Amino acid sequence: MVQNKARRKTKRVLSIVLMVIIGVIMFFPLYWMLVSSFRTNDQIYSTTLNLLPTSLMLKNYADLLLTTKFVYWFTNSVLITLSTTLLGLVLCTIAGFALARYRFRFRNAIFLLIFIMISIPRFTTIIPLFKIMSQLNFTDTYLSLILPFAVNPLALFLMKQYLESIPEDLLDSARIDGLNELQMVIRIVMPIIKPAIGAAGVNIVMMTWNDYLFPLVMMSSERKLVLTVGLASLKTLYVVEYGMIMAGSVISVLPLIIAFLIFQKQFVAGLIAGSVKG
Amino acid sequence: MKKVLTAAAILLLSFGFLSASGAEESKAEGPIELSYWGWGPHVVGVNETISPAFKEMYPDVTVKAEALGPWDLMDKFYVSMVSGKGAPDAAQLVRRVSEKYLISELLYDFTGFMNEYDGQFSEALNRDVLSVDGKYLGIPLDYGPSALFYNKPLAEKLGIDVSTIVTWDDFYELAVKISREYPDLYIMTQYYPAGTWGSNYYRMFMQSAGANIYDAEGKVIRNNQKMVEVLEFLYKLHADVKTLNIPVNDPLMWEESRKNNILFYPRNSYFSGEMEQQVPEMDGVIHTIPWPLWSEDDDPQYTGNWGGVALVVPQKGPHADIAAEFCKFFATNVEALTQHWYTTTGVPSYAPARDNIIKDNTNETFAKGLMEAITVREVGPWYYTDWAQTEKILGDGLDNMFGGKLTPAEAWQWTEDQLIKILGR
Amino acid sequence: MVFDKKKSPYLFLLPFLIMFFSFWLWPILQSLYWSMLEWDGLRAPTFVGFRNYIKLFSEQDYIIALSNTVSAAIVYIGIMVIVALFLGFMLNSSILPGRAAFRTIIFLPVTVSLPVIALVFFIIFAKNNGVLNNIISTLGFGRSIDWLGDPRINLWSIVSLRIWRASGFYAIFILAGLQSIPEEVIEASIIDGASGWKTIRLIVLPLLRPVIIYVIIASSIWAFQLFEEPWILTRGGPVNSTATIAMHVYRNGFQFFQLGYASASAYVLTAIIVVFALIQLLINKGK
Repeated sequence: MVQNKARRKTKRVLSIVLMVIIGVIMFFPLYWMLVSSFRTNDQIYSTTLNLLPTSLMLKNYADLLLTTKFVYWFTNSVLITLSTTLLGLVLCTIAGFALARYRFRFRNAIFLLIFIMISIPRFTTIIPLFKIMSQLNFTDTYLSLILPFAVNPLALFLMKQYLESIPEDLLDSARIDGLNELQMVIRIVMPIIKPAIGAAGVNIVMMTWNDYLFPLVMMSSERKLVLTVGLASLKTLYVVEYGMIMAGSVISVLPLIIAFLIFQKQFVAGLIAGSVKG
Repeated sequence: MKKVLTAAAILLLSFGFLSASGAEESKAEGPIELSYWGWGPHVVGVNETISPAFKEMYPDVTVKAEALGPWDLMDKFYVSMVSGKGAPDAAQLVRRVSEKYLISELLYDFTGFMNEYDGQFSEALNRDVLSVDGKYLGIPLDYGPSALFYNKPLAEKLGIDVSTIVTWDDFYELAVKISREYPDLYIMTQYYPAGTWGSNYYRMFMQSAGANIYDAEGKVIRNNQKMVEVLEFLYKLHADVKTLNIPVNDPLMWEESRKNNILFYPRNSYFSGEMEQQVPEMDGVIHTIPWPLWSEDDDPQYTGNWGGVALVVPQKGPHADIAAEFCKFFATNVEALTQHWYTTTGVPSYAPARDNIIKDNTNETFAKGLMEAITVREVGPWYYTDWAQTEKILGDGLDNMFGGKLTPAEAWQWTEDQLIKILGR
Repeated sequence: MVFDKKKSPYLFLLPFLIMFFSFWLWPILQSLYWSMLEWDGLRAPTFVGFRNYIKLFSEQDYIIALSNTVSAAIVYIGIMVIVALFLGFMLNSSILPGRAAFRTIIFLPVTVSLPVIALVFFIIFAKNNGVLNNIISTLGFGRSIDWLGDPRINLWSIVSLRIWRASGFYAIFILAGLQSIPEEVIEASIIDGASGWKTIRLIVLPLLRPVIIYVIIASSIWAFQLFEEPWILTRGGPVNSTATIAMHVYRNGFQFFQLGYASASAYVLTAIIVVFALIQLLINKGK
């Protein structure tokens, strides 16, 4: 018994050590990014590995805010990501509900088709897509980014799985109460699928926030660029403004981290029901 | 709470949709705003100097330059050309790979202008990158001839007299000697792996040797002995001399520079502007000498050229004519180009502007003696046929050699075979 | 009544499908047609049927890119799932303090955009005085390793970057799966005398199967589209050692102006991913 206790203690200590090591590895590049954002270019290039935050220079941040259109880029990214996520969640919820709760012709075929199509490399579709957007007069507007990304097959998949787990009785009683199907989805279903919304939302947010190629091609005015493209424009043919790029990246991961901290409970809970059932 | 959220959602969405209407451009008479795509200091120059100067001639016209990365710009420009929409009124392209963009139905024809200014744009063959079937579809703005940069205090400390370096053989002998005496010192920097950016770097050596991959008809030159010799030299240099091998933009190079650990930098004129930004504290340390010759009796004495910028105007644009006027103005504006030299150290293609810089060299560049070093040489003739693809194949061939898989002669044979097989030239 | 039980599924699907058709399917079908053209996008195209596909398989670079892509994807998925499982178990383990903080930390890498991550890793992997080589030499293991330049290891350097980036994200999926397993199931098996590893292998993993399959499917889509990291770090070199199909598509489409050929290249990749996904689905269904 005593031996067992000792063993358990060693195990615990070992696990904690392991956890710390993994945490450091996971955190290191981000930590480095953070530290670099406070350094001058020559401090960043320093070969003597300097892990401590040697300086707290805010010049990179000041330069970024004052000499570039960073504020616009950031606002654009936030607005586009939020709108895409909202629209995407609405679309995926009702479409997912249709796929999960009704029997109709081609149901499986439609689902399979959607699922397969996301695997096509996007370079191939960018030119035809740009053509469509320009015919609709959507290029250089938020719509050109919101519309394609709101259709998110992975989010649809998660939604569908989750919606399959809702008890049929609940829906039936709603129908007996005289609600039509749309009213039922809005009033009864939507309020109880918060976790799935968290999980599907994270998928859409991740895809939209960090995308590069689509916003690069679709948006032209400097004020309408998104963060990823804007930061990349600081990297010219010969010169890389590491300090400013790092500062910009630090600011750009913050919203994601904050969102994760707020929604992680729902996110995890949504995944439990959404993905576990497979 | 729910209502607030719903309201926010509706607001956000309608915001997105409303912004769609912003796409409608007013094509009415009145002030014209020309859009210009560029990268780097060009963009600042256009907005701050060149556009206001142009406005004096055309009071209704404002040019608004937008910054993109060069390769992003090339991609975006291509997408807009294919779709027939979304192109800017004018743009700068990476000249050495601009060949495929040059289609006479799509781009403004500058033939008349180029003929009028015949002889005033230097380095005739590079200009040909922009000509298709006798038509000039772009204007060359600047170029970056090669020079040998070095750390002067370091050279003095080691007792090296750089004026003894006339040929690459001189350079090699000196480099081997220093390598032995000072094993910790990097004699020079070079791009490796070549397939990344190195292709174009090593091409400067080839160009300066008067070698070429293609002939004027765009056929691969067979049994290219000159090229094999250059490759043999590069291999020797790679094997016997301590070099700092870096892929492009490796920030660690600057650290080694700053610590005075690098003696030579075989680079091109843009390198001075780049150093000024990256290692400003080395002001006065870096000097230049002319690019070494391949033999003392070389005539003409060639140097290489990194590349340069081409100005193009999509023909379908509503303001193509005025945009073309702007490009002509930019490419021949002595004052603007002089300023361009001091910020980017790109040499103006327009000869009078270059002569003006030589004549009035009061404001030295970051690397000292740069203009003298490059003007004593002539840029070697080079045919940029199918350049995007050729650059990839060339890089692979060089990597095969540096990686020790093939001897220089085999590596060139391999490259030649690939070019013929893949490009059918 | 518009929203009755019969019409509703169609009406609910309609908005999604309209947008899916216009912004996904239509461009994809259009590029399917392009894959049978010889076309630079600017001049008039020529219809060449399946010639682009035939040409692909006679191109040495393509075969290398194909094998790089497939092997990198399989190794990536394999190791990533194991690492994610491991992290997931750690997150679920009651003996560890500070799990919430740990969960946030391992989620961090996926938030940073790829170009920035690649820049950071540029400095980590650098041969001369890179962070990794500095650590190695500080620990006293002599020679520095050319992480990105040595053709024998550079692909795996890039794969390890990807594993680092994604495993924390997917670990949270695993955690979700673990939390949905009733504790009594695990406890019961321990009382039965099953050892820890046996419990995991015989009881927990089978229950986790659906979530693992989801992780594999979701990650395989991106695994096969490997592009940004090798493009920024090595441009596919030296000599194609880190070239991938997505890079082949990009190069041919955007740099060499062979839109038809590039589309064909992308379709071959798609076919591979579809086969891969179908196999997974079949395995899943067969159970």
